[in-house]
Amino acid sequence: MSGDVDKATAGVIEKAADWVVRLHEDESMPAGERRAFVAWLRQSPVHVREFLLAEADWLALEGVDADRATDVDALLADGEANVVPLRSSASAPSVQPRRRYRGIAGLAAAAMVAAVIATYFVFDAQPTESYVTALGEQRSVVLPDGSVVELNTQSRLDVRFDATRRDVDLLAGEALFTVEKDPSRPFRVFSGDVEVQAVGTQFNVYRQKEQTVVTVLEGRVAVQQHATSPAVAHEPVELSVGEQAVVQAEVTLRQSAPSASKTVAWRQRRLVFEDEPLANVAAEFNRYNAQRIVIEGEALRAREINGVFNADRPERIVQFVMRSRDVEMIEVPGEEWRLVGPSASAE
Amino acid sequence: MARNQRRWLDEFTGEPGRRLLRYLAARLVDPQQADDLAQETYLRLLRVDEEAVIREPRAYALRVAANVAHEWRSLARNRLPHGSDALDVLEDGSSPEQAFEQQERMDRLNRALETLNPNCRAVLLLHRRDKLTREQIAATVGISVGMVKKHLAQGLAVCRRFQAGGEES
Repeated sequence: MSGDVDKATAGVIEKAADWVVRLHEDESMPAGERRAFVAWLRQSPVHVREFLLAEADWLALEGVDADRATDVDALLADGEANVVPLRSSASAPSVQPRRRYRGIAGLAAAAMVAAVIATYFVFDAQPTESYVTALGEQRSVVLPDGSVVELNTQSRLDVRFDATRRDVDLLAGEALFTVEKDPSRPFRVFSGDVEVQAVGTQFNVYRQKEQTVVTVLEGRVAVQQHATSPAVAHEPVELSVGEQAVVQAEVTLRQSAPSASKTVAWRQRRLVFEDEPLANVAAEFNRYNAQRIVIEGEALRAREINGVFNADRPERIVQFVMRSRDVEMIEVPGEEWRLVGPSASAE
Repeated sequence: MARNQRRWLDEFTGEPGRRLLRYLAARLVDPQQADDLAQETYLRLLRVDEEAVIREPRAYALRVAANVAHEWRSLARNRLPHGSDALDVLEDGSSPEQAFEQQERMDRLNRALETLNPNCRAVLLLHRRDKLTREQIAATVGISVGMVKKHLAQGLAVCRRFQAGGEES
């Protein structure tokens, strides 16, 4: 997990890929090129390794997208328009920050048509707009000030903007905010009694049952917990890049955040676990899928999981857990997988 | 001799070659094994007559690598007692672990594809998934055959880099 490959390796990978594509042409390769290829192979074991791995991937690519979820025509249309498509299916391409802004108009239009429920309050001239995502759905929204919100599965966001403020209520779920600078109007996110304030920055807010987790990817934010009684006062906590605040009842913990790529892996529908108890892993999968994973037995619930999974493939984690012989599984298709650990079945 | 070599290599062209290549690919999943296998293949490629390799370089290199993998596996198998359960697992190409690895690999490839630009991804899908020839793709998409090749090589490189980088795209 050390990030990207080094430059030298990347060069060899490119060269190997080029050779493999040329070697697979229908007409046979001219002698001069074959000679050059053999000379290249005989230069280094790394060349041999990358050639073999590229061959293996070339073969494996035949089986890619086996359920043909990706519409090639749509891809080609996207390529032409150079607009990032807004889709909620598993095959949705990851949204790349640099390209995101070019497609803003399209994103905004699609999001407005699909998701906006505008509610007007009688006593408040300021209109509130709500954005919701269904189970397994993800969506990008461009706010009136140009800030971008990416909403994860089962989330709900109320937005209230006027001349002096930009207030957002995260009523449920998780959202990644990329905030446009506007010093005259602070950007505030409320998650229950937690207030997160930013100027121009990028941060992720995940509202859970018992706590809210705020993670800063860029810039600085202030996190303030609003006391439930006037007797208690909470100091705001300032977070900078790579920091995270876990806000529970009356307590704010500040800690260093997992890597940025882990925090926002959800945008690529990836779930990343490091020593995560299985009970939490199941809960994460259940945020995305109708068929739920239920874990029984204290020992099994506490079993630690490491790995990267596709959020849309809960059956993979079930299979993964089933590799231990002490686990039993009962599946009710469309409803649940019940995984029963050793202590639970002994009871 | 020439005929023997022909048959030896033929296994890497056409349908049976795919089975052998799959066998090889399964052994390349583990990075340490891939390194060792490449090292030994490299040494053997240095030892053989260069002209023989040049005749069919791809099939030759893959054949040598598969031989190395096969020899190592035979060695490992001979060290196990007869009738051992481990032997059955080793022999069976579809153990749960291998099936799992295979699925993980497909997941990684699918994720790698998602990071490609739309045109490149479309070309790769048309060629590998839908089995269109390069010429057919050029005609369908409205680009040159050279551009198709470029997209294919670039797409494959991104897939490889995605896996080599350990999940970080």
